[in-house]
Amino acid sequence: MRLLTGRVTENAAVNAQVFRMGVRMDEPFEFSPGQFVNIRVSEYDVPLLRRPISISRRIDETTIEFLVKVEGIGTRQMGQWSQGTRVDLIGPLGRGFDIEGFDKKAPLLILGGGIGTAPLKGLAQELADRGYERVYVLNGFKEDPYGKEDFKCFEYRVIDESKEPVYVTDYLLSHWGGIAFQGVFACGPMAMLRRVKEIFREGEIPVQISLEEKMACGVGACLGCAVKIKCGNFQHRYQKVCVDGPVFDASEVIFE
Amino acid sequence: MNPLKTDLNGLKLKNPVTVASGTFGFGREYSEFFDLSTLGGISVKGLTLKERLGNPAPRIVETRSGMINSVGLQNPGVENFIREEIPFLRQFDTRIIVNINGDEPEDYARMAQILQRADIDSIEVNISCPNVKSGGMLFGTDPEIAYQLVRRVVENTRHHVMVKLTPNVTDIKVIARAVEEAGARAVSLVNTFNAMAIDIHTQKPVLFRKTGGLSGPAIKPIALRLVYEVYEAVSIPILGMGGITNAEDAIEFILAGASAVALGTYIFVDPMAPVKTLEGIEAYLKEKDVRSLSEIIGKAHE
Repeated sequence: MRLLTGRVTENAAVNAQVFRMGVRMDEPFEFSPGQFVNIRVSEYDVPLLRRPISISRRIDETTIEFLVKVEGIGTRQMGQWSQGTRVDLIGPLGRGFDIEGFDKKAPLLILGGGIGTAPLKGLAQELADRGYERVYVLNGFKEDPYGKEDFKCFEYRVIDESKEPVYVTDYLLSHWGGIAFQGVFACGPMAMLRRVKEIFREGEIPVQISLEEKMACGVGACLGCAVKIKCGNFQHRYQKVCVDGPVFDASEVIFE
Repeated sequence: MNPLKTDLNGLKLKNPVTVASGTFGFGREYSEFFDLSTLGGISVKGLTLKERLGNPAPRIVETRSGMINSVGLQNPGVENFIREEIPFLRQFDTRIIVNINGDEPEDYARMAQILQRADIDSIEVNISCPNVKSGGMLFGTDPEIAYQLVRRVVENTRHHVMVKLTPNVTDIKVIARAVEEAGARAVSLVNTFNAMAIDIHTQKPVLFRKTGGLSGPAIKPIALRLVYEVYEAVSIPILGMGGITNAEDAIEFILAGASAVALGTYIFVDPMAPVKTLEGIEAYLKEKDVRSLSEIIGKAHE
């Protein structure tokens, strides 16, 4: 992790709430899918804290793309950044998805919910680049789905809940239940992640989930972004979403 | 002569810029951004006798110009700290200030004993943590308890003892005088302000523990006023903190009476802020033709 700078290359609305922003870093930028950066929104400190934003995918050696949902004053300001705006960020941060050790021909599942699909694009790209042949992607949106064109995969299914009232997890069971997935990667609302964990618990299939939590430092110092993890000595312990995650083995996470 | 050196009544710092407990871990994370030897001192994450898990999430919430935290003293315990973290921190030419906390007054004395042989530079007695069920801030709001507790720490250590004060009292001067009388060599102030944020959609407090401690630029003017008041009330030196973002803020605290300052929350915003603050203070001293920092400590009182 380092303090880095770059400039906005493009910033475009994807739908009423989500924007897609490209940033060209001032130097080559290495990251692995699932990692994030902590972006300084305002040099005048409103808002005060940086905003942790997951990296959606790589565009080229120095350019990365973010998919951001407007949630508050930080993301709203970022959505207004024009081409050329200077970006101050700390990154890359956290532990991304572990994609080692899978059979290249075995089916893998990527499951996304809403803005949780952001880091999964880069994951699908990486899996494709590494020659994984059977990556299934299932993304659910409350309304106005986006992003299909960026998912390189074997099979892609999107659910628009405003037209088709079904959760991705239910669709998964009813339509893809017979597929012997070797690994699962998920990012989305907590309720979805909890359900994914339940579905695959008995199959001993490794499920990696990417979590979100409010952060201050993003580098492991402030202990603000706690996630409850199973632990032998205590009933539980807390890990830091920023450095121990954001991607966790679902079997370790205690959902409240 | 180094114009930046300063002295907290026996704790000699090569410069007045330190980092506040709870905002800097044990230094490892920020050592990737700058050389920790730049700092006058590091106050480490608050320690307890035994390892502590901390509070459930949400632990933090941002508010206008500040943040409220309720981490709950998550830490590995004092003995793990001595074994795992002191060797790392000692690689750097900076003062190690060990922030200690307890459920009972006697926990502090025990920790002082345990730290007796540790290679540290100061013990910061934290009687001002607002985020734990027992102890913490309760001890820092009662002058009699504060006196007894600090007395016991002082009796049990050879190290420099500093006491971290809470602003959540009617009159901070009373507490400052009590700990001075008990033998504290310096005071550090202020800790965070008790605060709350409510989510209007869930219609509940945002933080799991409902309240937490407010820090950041929002508290700076109040913290500054408290340092100014304490400077007039005691004769021991002050380590001043509360919302400092840059050299101008730091110089205000020094003029109010702080012999050294600590940056905290703003490090999350700009990890380089302590370095920039130090450079700014140095430039200010040159510009004002001040040969020693001590010439301007408390100058706003003249």
